[in-house]
Amino acid sequence: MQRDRVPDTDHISRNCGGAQVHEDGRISGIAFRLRESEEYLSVNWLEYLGLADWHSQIEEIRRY
Amino acid sequence: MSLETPNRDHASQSAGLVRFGRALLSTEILRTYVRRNAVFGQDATSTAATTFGWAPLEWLGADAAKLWDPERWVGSTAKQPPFQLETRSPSQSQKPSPQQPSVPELSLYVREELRATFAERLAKRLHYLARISEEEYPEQAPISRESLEDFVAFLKATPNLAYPGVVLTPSGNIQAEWRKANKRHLAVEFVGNGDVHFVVFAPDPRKSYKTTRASGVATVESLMDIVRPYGVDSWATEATRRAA
Repeated sequence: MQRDRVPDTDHISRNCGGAQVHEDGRISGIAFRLRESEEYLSVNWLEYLGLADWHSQIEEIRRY
Repeated sequence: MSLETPNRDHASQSAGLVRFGRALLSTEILRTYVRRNAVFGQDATSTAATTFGWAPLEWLGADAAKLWDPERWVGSTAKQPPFQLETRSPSQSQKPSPQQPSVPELSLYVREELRATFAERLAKRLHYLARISEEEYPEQAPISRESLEDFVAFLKATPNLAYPGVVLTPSGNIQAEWRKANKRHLAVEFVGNGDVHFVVFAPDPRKSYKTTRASGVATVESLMDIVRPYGVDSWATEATRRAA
C-alpha cells in the first residue's frame, strides 16, 4: 500500500490530535504538518477499505 | 502520496478529511504551511522580520515597498544576509521541562494578566488544551511557557482583538487564528523568544476576487504593523465582529 497513487476522486483521512481541533470542530492546518516521528504525511486511504460510506470508513480506521 | 496502514487511535483524536480536487478542508492553508515550512523549517526562528507570499506585482510595488523599504536592507546586506535562521532541534522542544506551566498556573496567569473581555473563556480553552496535551503526551508536548507569555503579551498590546481560535502545535507552541472567511484569515504561531510565525490570507486590494497569501517571521511587537496593510483590522477586531 505504501507509495501507491491515490486517484483524485478518492479520499484520505489523517488522525488529528485534540489540541489541533478548534472549539467549533474545525481542524487547524497544524494537524497537517509533519510530526517529529514522521518522514512523510501519514494518512489512510478511505476507499481502499472497500466500505460503503465515510462513517463506516472512519469507524474502521478508528478500530486500529 | 505515500500511505501507511491504519494505526492506533486516541479517543480524543479526530479525523481530518481531504478530498482531492475539491477540498473539504482548506488545502490552500495546507499548501501555505508546506511552503512556509519548506523555507524556514518547522522550528526555525529568526532575528528579523521576513515575508514570503503571493501578490500582484503592481501591489507589491506600492504598499509592500513602503512597508519593507527594500532599498535600505538591500544596501545594508551586501555582505551579509538580511536575517539569520537558528534551527531548534525538535527533540529539544519535545522534552518536558520544569518550566512547563501547570494547568492552574495557566488559568491564573491568563485571568490575571489579560484584561480582555474574553480572558475567562481563553483561560478555559487553555485549560482544555493543557489537559489534552497531558492525555496525548508524548505525541503532543505540553504548552510552552515562553509561547504562552508571548501570546498574552501580544493580546495585552493589542487590546481590541477579537477572541481567537487557539490550538497547539505538536511541540506545544500556541497558534492563534482569526478567521472570517476563506479570504480573511490570520494565523500566528508564538514560537518563543519574542518571535512569531504568521500566515495571512486577504482579498487582493486591486482585484478583490483574488486572494493574497503571505507568510513570514516577525517579532511579537511588530506583527500587527506587518499584517495591518493586509486589512486584518477589518476582520480580527472586536468592533468589526460586533458590526458583523
